[in-house]
Amino acid sequence: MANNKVKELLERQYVILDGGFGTELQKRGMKPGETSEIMNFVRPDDVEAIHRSYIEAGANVINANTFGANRLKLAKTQYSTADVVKQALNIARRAAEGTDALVALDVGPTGQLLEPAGILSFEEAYDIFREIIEAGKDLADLIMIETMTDLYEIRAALLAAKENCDLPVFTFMSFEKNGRTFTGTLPSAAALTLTGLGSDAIGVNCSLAPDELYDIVGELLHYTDLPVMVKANAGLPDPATGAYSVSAEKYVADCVKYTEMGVKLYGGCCGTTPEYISGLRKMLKVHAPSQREKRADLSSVCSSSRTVDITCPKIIGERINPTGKKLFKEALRNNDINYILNQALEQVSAGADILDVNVGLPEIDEKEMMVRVVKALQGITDLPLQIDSTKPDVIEAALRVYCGKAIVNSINGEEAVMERILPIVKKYGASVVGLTLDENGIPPTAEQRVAIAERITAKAESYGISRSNVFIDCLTLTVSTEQKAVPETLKAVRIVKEKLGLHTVLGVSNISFGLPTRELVNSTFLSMAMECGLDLPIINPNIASMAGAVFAYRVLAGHDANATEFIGRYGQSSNDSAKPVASKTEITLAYAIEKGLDKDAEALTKQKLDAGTDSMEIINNELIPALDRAGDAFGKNKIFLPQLIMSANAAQACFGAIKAAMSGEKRISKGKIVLATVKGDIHDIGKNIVKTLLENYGYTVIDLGKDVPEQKVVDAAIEHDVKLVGLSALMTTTLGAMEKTIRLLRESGHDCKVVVGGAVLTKEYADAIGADRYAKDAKDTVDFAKEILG
Amino acid sequence: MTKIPDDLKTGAYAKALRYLGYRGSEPDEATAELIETGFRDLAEVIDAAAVNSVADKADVSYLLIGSDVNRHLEGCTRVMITAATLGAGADRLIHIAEIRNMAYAVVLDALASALIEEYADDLCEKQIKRLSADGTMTSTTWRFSPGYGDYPIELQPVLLKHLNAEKQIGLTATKDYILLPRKSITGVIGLSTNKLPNGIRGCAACNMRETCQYRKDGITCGE
Repeated sequence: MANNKVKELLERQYVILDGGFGTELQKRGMKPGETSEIMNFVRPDDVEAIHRSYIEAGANVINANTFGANRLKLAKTQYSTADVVKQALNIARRAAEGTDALVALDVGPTGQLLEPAGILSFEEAYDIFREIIEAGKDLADLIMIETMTDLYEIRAALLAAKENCDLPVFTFMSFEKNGRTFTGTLPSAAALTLTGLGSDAIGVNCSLAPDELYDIVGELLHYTDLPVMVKANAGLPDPATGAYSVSAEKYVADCVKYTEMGVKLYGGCCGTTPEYISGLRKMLKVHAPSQREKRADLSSVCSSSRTVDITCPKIIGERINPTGKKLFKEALRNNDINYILNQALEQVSAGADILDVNVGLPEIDEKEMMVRVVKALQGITDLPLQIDSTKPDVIEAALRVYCGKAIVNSINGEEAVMERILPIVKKYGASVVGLTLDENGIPPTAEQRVAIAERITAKAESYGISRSNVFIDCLTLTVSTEQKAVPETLKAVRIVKEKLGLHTVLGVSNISFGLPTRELVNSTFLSMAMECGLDLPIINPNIASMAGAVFAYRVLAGHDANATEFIGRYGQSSNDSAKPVASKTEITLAYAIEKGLDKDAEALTKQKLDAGTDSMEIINNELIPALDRAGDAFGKNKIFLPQLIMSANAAQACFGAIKAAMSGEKRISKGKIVLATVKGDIHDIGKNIVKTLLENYGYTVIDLGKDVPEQKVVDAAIEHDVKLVGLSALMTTTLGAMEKTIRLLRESGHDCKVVVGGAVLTKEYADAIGADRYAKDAKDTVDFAKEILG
Repeated sequence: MTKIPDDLKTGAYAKALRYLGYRGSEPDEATAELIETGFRDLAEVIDAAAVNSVADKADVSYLLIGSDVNRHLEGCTRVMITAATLGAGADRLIHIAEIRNMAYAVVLDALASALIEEYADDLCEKQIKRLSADGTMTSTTWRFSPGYGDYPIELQPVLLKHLNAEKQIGLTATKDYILLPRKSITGVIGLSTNKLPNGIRGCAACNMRETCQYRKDGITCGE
């Protein structure tokens, strides 16, 4: 029923929302420092009067006074989320009684930053929002999620709303003058992501005045078909008087332009009053919003801070994939996320536009690993991701935590596969790769593959997925075994692109399997395919000729206007040559490590290995003594922290060369150590320095990260049977968590030593909380590790 | 994007070197290069923002808990509450460096800490100049932040709420009172129409006081 009322509302030419609430409450006597939501209990009549004043001013929808009603913000009050939500909605209901006005459950940010910038997990945020939705769903006509600055957080709120009630959901984000939110979210990314996830209307609220939001709103309109909403601020408050700078008259006049742009819903945020709302009503009677033109069908994917429009060939980097890669497999088995992140960063600098993510390995939990990797990747790169798995549960888990609009790789023409995966693609608003094969295998002719492409597209459309979100892979076969298949693939690409009007994707590297100089074959095939209409080549961008073929194609096909991008990338290359590696005769490996020359260290290690030197001999006779000398110099203030770490980095390069040369089964480790920054603490740079050093002394570090629950440390210590645990804390407020961790470790009966470090610690305190050793710096920790583990 | 003014770079450079443990000595070539790159890379991602409010001391007594802050504000009738941040971009840059190059991460971390200090000091100076111009005050104290002395760190979210800092500049505190984005500062500054004694800033007012190796070694960076 509520659904119908909102549907009718959205069929009108325009809709009026309400205005500022906090300022109205202050006018009625709320004091600074008081919590708005508490006013539902101490000033219910004032709250109701404000609602009524907005209805009288013309608002079709009023927001209940629930903006900050979440368990985090209410923690220090005597009220629960449910208390506040129900009380506020009942007041709003009373105010709306006898009128047509609808009542919205107003949902604001949690007030905590989400991972990766903060520590609140996506799942925890979801649960906080779920609690609000559950409390309010029977009393509200719709849900308004407002003032969000983090796309991840608004996704959590929107998902919680969609999964726990049937009410329509309107979503708003707040943008700054630089065209982004505080956390960097772009309007295009907000529009793509929220539209895909099933929001019923999207908009901007708060932070800026109406005349500062035209470009941002224009971008929303460009990227969505949904009704668009504007609830601006009345300018800025004066720091001394609190008065807002934009008058009702100006506010309303500046909103006229939005009617021409096709904005449908109008209201106000901070500093606006019923006067502004009644002004909007009068204006809208005269300036009814224009009908929006039908948008061109866009194919775009995004992270929160980068949108990739597929308007010319874009590179999908293929390197995050264990297939045929020994070190990658080992990294997956060891939970070495940093290895994977490095693979990502390398491709980013090589010019990838999108990263394919495949972490499937039979012996690991693919779903858990996928979630970890997706979360970690979005902390370090803004490239959109392509989730590469055939397992529906892995795909769903990845899309759920992915902050943006992803691509799913892949489905094919098999009915059962499509029926399993397409509903997930639809739910999370992703794009999807369709392989032109089915239960009968890969058809030999182009026409047959095109027929499968048509079937896949029709099926996707039946689930509500638009054609613009289906990317067809016509499949690359190996030229050395099926030479005749090459023209068929290219022909299929051309037909799919030109006749079906769909975007195309191809894994390129397969083409050259079994041939010499594969690069040459790959890049030539890539150029041919792009000329036939390939939009999304899946390649290794680290190979200069592959990424280069795409960059050059963009120039030649007129996409890279004035070759700006191309010149930016290659114009300086002659000056940009890497520093020459010092002559091999000049320096020793030990010297390279001591001085932090990582390239030299790597090259010299390779030389030694090639000459038949045993790897343990290199480690014990060269690497470790060199690190020791650097450590001594550090202790005597002859060198400083950056130099010590540069030494460690050089040692790492040396280790890398040794590992690469060794067969998978043989491992070098001087013992395992668990490291963690304790619960509540998120300053982990110190812990990471210690980790770098320990690893380069040959220890295996099980890094549990930051904000680590006490029990998790105990569990890890037991699971990996470690003899040494290192704990770090940098805040006086988190020392308690350190003490508790040590206590639980002792109570568990697991026999291990505990070394503690961090800014606020002292030897005395370390003794008092039962640690075995206080380490004043990273070097000190290494010394202790040597005592314990040898 | 609000950039950090270039003229703050010199001060930040000296501070960052101290944070890195250099006791008056110049950095080696490799570190100097990291510092130069660090300034450049940080400039690209920093989107600094600040928010202030000025109030009668009596009206904001709920923000002034503990004897140390009140001693600090003795003789002041008005106070300025302030919060400043470099934004989330700096945190992200440091995080990425931690994966690629830990030495660079350490340098970036020190530079960013130094920059937020310099930025907050500079903004306060400018605000104070503005206030002195209209004669509402003639003298000020330095910035006093939650966590100094017995000024409870638990006040961090209360100050943020007072300034509406989450909405105004995107600054939040975790439930363990850590400011996020990390490179951020809050504090109170006393304003007076009388001449105030020049308090020594000392370690209590330094953002690095908790991680400072000098202090651990029993000395100060001024020595």
